[in-house]
Amino acid sequence: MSQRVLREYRRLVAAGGAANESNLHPTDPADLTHWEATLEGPQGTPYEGHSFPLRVTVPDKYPTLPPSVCFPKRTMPHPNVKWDTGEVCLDTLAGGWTPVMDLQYAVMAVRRLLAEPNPESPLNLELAALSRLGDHKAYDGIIKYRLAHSSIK
Amino acid sequence: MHTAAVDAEHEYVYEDDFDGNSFDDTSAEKYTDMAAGKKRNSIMSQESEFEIDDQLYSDDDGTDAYNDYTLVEPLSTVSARELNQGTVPNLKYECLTAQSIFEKMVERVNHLKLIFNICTEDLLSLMQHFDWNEERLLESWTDKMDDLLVEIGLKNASETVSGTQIDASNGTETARTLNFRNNFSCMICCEEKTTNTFSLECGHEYCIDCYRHYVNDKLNSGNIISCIGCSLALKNDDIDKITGSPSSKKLMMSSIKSFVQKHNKNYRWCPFTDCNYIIHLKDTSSLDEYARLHYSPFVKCSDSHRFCFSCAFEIHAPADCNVTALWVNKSRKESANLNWVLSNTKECPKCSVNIEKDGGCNHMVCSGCKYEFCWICERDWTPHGKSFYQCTLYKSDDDKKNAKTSLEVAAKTLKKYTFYYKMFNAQEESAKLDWTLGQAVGAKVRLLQEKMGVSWIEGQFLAESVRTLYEGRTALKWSFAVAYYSDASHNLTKIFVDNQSLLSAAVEDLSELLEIKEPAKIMDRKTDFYNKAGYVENRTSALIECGRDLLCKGICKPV
Amino acid sequence: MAPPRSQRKRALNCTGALVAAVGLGVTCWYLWKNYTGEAEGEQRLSREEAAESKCVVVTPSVCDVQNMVHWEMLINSDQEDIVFLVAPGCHDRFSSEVLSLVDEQFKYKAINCETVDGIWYCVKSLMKQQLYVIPSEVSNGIPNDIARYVQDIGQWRTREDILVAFPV
Repeated sequence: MSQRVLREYRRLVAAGGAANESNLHPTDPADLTHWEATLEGPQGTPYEGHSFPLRVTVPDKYPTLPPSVCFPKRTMPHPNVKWDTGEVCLDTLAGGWTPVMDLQYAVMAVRRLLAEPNPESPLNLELAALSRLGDHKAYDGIIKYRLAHSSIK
Repeated sequence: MHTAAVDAEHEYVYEDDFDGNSFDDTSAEKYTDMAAGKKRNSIMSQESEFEIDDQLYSDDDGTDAYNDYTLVEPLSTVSARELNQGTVPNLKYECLTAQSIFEKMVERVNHLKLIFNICTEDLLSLMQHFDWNEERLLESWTDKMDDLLVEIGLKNASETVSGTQIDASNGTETARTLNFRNNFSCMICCEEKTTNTFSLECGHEYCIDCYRHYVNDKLNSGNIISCIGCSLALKNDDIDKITGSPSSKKLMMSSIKSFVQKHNKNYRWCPFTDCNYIIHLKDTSSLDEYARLHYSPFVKCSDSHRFCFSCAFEIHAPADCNVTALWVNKSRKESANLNWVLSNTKECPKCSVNIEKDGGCNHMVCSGCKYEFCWICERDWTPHGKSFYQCTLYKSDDDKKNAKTSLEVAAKTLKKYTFYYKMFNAQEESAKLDWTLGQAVGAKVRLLQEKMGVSWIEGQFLAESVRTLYEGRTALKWSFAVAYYSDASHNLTKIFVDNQSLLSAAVEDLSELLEIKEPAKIMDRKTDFYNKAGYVENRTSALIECGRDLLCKGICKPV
Repeated sequence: MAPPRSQRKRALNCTGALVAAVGLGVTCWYLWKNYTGEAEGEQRLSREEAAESKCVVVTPSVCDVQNMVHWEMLINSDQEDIVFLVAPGCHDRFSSEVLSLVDEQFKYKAINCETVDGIWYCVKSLMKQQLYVIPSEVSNGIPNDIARYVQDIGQWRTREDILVAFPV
């Protein structure tokens, strides 16, 4: 449904930077299938102060089917993100998706996930276990380690 | 209802003359007779020699598994054949389809209408939401009543507050029907076109194409479909209107399917390809007891497909479900290493000409040099023709030396496993090839019958033989899994291996018969077919019983 | 003798073919370089991470050898891929004796764990090549499945063993 994506693109451009805090934009304006965004680490989380790139792919059957959203591999240590592939497990992007939602909503949902991990559906088993255990120092420590370690490389 | 078939005509008579072959080693025979005598107290008269041997084979821990269990019904109503095949005696189950389950649910709904004051459709949706679990539905209903309906989306919240429609902007006249609109701008596809639209009372209106795509996508989930924009529920009528076809049936079916999936303790899909039958086992409490006795719950669907209820897998007698699971798991892990075993073409050991196997029989004759050899072990055939079947016995060399390093132990275990895996696969492949061959020949025979005017009943012997052969090979195949996990030094294991050899020989004999291509010759050798098939059947039963004994006595330890 | 026009035409054809071949060769080389470059880069990354990457579980004995081993030197170094998991009860000691000597930018290499189970989850998450631990100082010892997450386990029994692995 390219009309729909086009409409979203136009709406984003018209609204300007203030409304688009994640800087959601298509990689190539001529091809609206691949989009990018940047998420700022929410305050009060170990992700604070870091920026995370996000990749959004729009399927043919959009908006009946949800867009696929993922992080680049080995950039996001999070209980609901698979470290090695960047895959995100979020109900809004799967069974909970309805066609009234749009790309920006999807990106915002991922941002909300950063601040509120969901222990029910973990893709990073060790981080999820640490969170369930209540060992917050270790949980924060691992995340900070990963973020610092990969940025040095 | 379908109880384990009572088949009085096929009572096991262990004094059958097998097929005239004489055996040097009669211990196997003796064993099977003893096993037969021990259990079939109520069917056969016990002779004195069996009583003596009974004590010899009593359990060490004092509990005599054979006489201890209490069955629901006496053994005499169960056919000896069923017992022999390792099935659970008197297993009660029924064979259903998704459609019949749905119809039963509709019946229940009609009963429930008296308690709830809602229309049938809504009630169906309610049941669907609670996974067709009446108790949960009743519980929730007594708790929440109308609020429950709002929660699920069957009623608009506004309706319950004042009893009248608050949101009148989209009037009830336009809701739940297709409306034709000019230049309608749909929010979903962002196109402006002249089209039909659909909306519910909530007023969320979208073009019919979008709604159709949306509904079609959700039909497979089995859950209630709600409005695109809110949680108000679409009724089955609405779904049909939107898609223009009776799709709500599809939704109901997928809901029933997920119900079956969730209740997989009592319900099982028939694992055969393209078979849509469901087996429903009402009482699963007895299964544990039977598992202890190493019986497996084998069931049969209305299409005559037999499978194991616990494993949803093929019949795996003489192995029990535990052994089967371990074996399958192991082979999945080791399959990468053992791929070479599965090759269907091999070279003749003498002249190295490529031979491709197209029949189940393992007795190969090289077309080039006429060398006769066994497909499985690639050695001379002549020792195989005699009573002792060399192939099946695993001779582990270096028994005296203890493996020094863990590497050596691992190598030895792998070697042993490779041997049994090879045998297992050989039998599986042979079974498949036999079956295909059998079908082809069967077709020819039927043609011949029409020409010669032979009755259909008479011609059934071929189909029966093919089936018996297939069952024999399957039992033999799984017996290797049992043998792998068994203690090789124990006497009973040796007897078990003997039984394997006998069955192997019998099966190869019958398989050779199948290789006869001319239908006229087949009709001539009809009596041979009968004899050899009967022999295979007997040996199969004996092997299964022996296997079960190994398991009961703990000689076979699946680890 | 061939007429000059067809001769020129043939020469033109030859040069055209030559140019096309060279162009094709260059494209292929470029693509191949990109492809292997990517694979190489990834390999380099994983090899770096795998080579000599260490994970140390900090227990009282580990703190004791600080005077001889000087852990902060390993932490402060860019070349050393090492992480310290500080067991419950040793946080303050490790912090005051070691981390106070560490540059701010490297402090992430020390992770404080509030529970013993937490230590093992961290080990599994980080998947370093070598694990150093004194099992007797960790309640319940080493979990059975830890071999799936690390390659070598240097089990120390006494503090002298530590000095062997990390020479003064």
